[in-house]
Amino acid sequence: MVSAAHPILLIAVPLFFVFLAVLFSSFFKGIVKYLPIIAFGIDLIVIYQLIPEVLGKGMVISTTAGFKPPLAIDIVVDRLSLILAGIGSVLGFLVSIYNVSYIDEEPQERYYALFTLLVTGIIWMIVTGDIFNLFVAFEVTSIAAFGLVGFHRDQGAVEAGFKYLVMGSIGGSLLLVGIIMLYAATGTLNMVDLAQRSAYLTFQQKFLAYSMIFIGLGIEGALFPLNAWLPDAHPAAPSSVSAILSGIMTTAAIYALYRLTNLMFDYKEIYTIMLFFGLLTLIFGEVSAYFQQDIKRMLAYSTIGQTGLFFFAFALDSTNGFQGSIMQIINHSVSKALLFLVTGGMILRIGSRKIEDFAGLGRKMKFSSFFLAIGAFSLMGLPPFFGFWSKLKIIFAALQQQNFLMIASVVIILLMSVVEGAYFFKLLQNMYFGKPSEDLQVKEAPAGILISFTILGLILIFISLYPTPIINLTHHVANDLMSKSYINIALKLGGL
Amino acid sequence: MNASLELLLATPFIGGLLAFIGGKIHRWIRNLIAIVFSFATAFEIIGYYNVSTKGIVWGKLFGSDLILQTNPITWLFLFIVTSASFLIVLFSIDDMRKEEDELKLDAYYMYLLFVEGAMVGIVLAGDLITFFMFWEIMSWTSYFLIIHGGKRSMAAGYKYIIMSVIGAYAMFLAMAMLYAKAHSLVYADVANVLLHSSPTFVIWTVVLLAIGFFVKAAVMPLHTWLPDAHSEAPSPVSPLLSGVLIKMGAYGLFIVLYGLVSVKLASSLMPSVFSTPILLYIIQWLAALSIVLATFLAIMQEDAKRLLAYSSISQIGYVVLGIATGTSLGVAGGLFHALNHAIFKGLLFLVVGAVIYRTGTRNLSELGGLIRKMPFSFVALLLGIIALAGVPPLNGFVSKWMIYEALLQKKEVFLLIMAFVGSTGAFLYVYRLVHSIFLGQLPKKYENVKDVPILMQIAIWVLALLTIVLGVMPGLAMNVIVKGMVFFGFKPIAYNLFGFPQGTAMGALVTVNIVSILAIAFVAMWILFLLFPKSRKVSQYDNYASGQIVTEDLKYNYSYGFYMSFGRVIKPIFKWSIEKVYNYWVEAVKVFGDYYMRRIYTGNLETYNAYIVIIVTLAAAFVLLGGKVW
Repeated sequence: MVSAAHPILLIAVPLFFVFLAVLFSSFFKGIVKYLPIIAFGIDLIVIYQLIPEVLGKGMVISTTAGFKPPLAIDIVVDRLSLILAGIGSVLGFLVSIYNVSYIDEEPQERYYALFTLLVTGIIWMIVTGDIFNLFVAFEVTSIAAFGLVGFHRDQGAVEAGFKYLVMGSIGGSLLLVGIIMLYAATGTLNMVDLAQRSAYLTFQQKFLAYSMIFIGLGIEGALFPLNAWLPDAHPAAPSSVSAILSGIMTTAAIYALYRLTNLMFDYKEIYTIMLFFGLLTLIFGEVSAYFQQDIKRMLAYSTIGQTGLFFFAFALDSTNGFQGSIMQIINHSVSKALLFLVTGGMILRIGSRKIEDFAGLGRKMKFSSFFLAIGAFSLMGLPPFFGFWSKLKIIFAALQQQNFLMIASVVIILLMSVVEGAYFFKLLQNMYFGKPSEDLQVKEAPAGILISFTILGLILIFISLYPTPIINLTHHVANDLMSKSYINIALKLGGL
Repeated sequence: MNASLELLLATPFIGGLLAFIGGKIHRWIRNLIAIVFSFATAFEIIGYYNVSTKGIVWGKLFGSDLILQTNPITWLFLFIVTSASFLIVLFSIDDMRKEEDELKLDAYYMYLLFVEGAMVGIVLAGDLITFFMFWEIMSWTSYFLIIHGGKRSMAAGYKYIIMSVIGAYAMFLAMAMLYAKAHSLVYADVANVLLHSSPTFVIWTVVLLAIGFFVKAAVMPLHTWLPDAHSEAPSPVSPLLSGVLIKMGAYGLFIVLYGLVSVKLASSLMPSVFSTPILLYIIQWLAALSIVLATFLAIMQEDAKRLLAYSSISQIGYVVLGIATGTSLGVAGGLFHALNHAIFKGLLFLVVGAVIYRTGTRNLSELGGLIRKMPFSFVALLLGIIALAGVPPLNGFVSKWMIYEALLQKKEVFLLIMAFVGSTGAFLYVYRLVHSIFLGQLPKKYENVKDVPILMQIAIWVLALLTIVLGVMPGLAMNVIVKGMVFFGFKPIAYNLFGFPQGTAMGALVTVNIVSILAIAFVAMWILFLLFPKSRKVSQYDNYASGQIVTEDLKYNYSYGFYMSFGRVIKPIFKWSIEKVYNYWVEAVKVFGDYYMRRIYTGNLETYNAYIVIIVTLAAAFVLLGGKVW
């Protein structure tokens, strides 16, 4: 069997299918909707083949254009990016199945092209080893996302898309400014090279570049107060896109921030700043979510809150914190995508996004409701679901620092968990035990939708009941981050 | 051969899943599975009677062992959990038949068994993570049971789950603090670390853990969820909540106070009042306040289940009061009362459930005269209320006596008086139950009421017999409790099958004597009754009423506002309610949140971009200041 363990394929294959989608739209229109499934199916195979190599060597590097880095762009998959790229591919694949039943609005071929581009861009952001390439991936993702948010072309969607466009563009420009500053100071764009060269710069020299990058990625990554586009954009987008946006796109931006912070800006002050941003994001996200009447808005705000939580955990700057953060990312990606996919199917059936209209669905759409409950439980962090393990880890990590500020933060996190419980239980209670307004006649969601979220839900149940492999893997990743083994391994494997 | 602990823990969970699946085939398959599996769980614990096993590791998390273990105290609570669950399943089979939605019923049995499994897990836990995990599972599964009861139960369930979550996170915080210090949450390790910690740390952990337990055990002022949840839940769920679930709070308190911290450690860390560490003394006062105030509230209720719910708060007060005394006798009394309360409160809720099953109402003023229609239920209720009021020779008496004795020995007179007041008040409200449900005149609409079906009768009568057995032979329970307390390092107390021999500074209690005296008195009364001439029965309508014709609708039943005059006396106390304070805060937070969230997420693009500009400016300012703001 031919080994497909080349990280470059993760990007190249789906990108090829984007062109294919546009190309086919004139000839074989019927086939276009199945193209993303093939594209991300291949991605999954590549990921599968990468797993033993990455776990064994710690990293796999592909170079391009026949030059050695830092001259050429390199694509790097280490353990952390393997986890995130894996989530991205799984979500991409499942949502592609979902799309088949879900998208019936025209122009379909553009939707599929943009959708493939969106997921590709996200995976690209995750696996790139070059900071300018990161910017390119960021822009590709953003442009695809702008288009998809406005896909429904009603007033709300267009307005949300426009807001997102403006703020996303500002973010992109600031990111570019930050990258330029770094390039001007060091003369290189390769991340490993940058990490080594920027060690000679002082904190003050780096800080402005850092803040530009932070704001740029923070806008995409839903950090308070830069996240104001999100509560509009995520609900306005089709649910399939919301699942990707909430599930992995914000996370990808946060991942890039993690990576850069870890490699270049590893200062105590910076972690302190991140800590505050994390906490504020958490508070504002969760509290706002409580007041929402619209279920997708509620989930979008909940995304903000969760982002705040794992950002906070990362900013603890300890092995346990990193591990908790990555576990929470996994939990959030899977559960939130699951929630968006399920609610998408429900909204399709009842034609409303109001929480009160979900009354009585528990009996009409049993599978959907069941998986909605599972996803919600995991997000709340109720045992024995995966969210419990990750939240436990985060709290432990925070309290290990043993100072008053940390105890206060933990109290805040727990209070916000109560708020989270309050709105999710309100939803579940209404769904299972509320009285339907009139004689509610709805069927279970269509096959494609059902299959995709059932698979995702089963994944969630599996990792909940058997969390040990992920706990071990994330522990490795946290150690990698702590010891900055990214640099050492990349040097050894010729990433520079 | 003993069933392994894992199997014991897994049985109810497997049973729940199978019942759910079996319900898809036929409802009798589901019912049978529920009965068999709840019985199997109760059966499996027999082998662990008075056995203390070394903990077995069933998993590992973040390098900390997850442990299951048993000891005699565990066995006591396992007995309460499993046998009560089994009886409740039996009772449910008939009682829940009126529910037409079979899907809801499948879920009902699944959650019922899950709650049982979670409680078994809590009790078996040998470390705090396992404990907390099952604690949370218990919270959300019981929440789904509570909201089965219809529209009003949804509000009650919501309140319950929110308060539970708050309590749980308080525990979680304490756990995490301990983990950060000890790097392990096995009880022994935690106890070891607490031994070498500062007093502040110990107090904080105990307080935080206690908040979690007090929410579940409904100790004032954290009790506000209980009256709603217990009264709005379906009839068979109420005894599970009142009889068993709130005992988990008491169990947790016991573990923390005597498994993690010991009396010796506590006394060395903080000042003592009445030779009790101050923390325990405060807990005693909270418990005593619960006893008195909840009793008063119970007296004023018009709703049979609400009355019992308040009574539960008051009775759990005795349990906590006993446990918090810190002496062998008091703690044993508290634990014994936990068992007794599970029995008699389960019994009372089941009887009231039976009445509701036949009449469809739980409003006391609408009932009356059912004694001739439901005689078995009447006798069972009578036994239940005698036990609850703490009258010999039934079980409630012995445990209350132990608690009184313990308080007397510590010379805590005020607490003793409060405990007495609670007992006296109990007479008032339990009399209300007998009077308003079974005595008085039978409303015409209940002419055709019969006693309940056999399965419900069995569940009721097993409990009724237990009140007598444990009342006459408290030694059966003391066997377990005293062994368990020795396991936790208490001095053993002397006991025999029929009570307590004359000990040091302790009065003797011999139930046989009490029973004989009562029996003699009863026989004497009976003879007197036979000797005197019999009264002649006259129809109620054979009466002179100034020429007016007496008809059915003129029958008068005195039962609404039964204790109104008493209510006027105690009214000033209830002008202040902790619930109002909670609601006030919830409202305040809501207004604040709503207002400020709207100010921040205005929906206005200019505002949003301003945020970006502000952050950029701040960053630039930070650089200009040379990176030194703090």
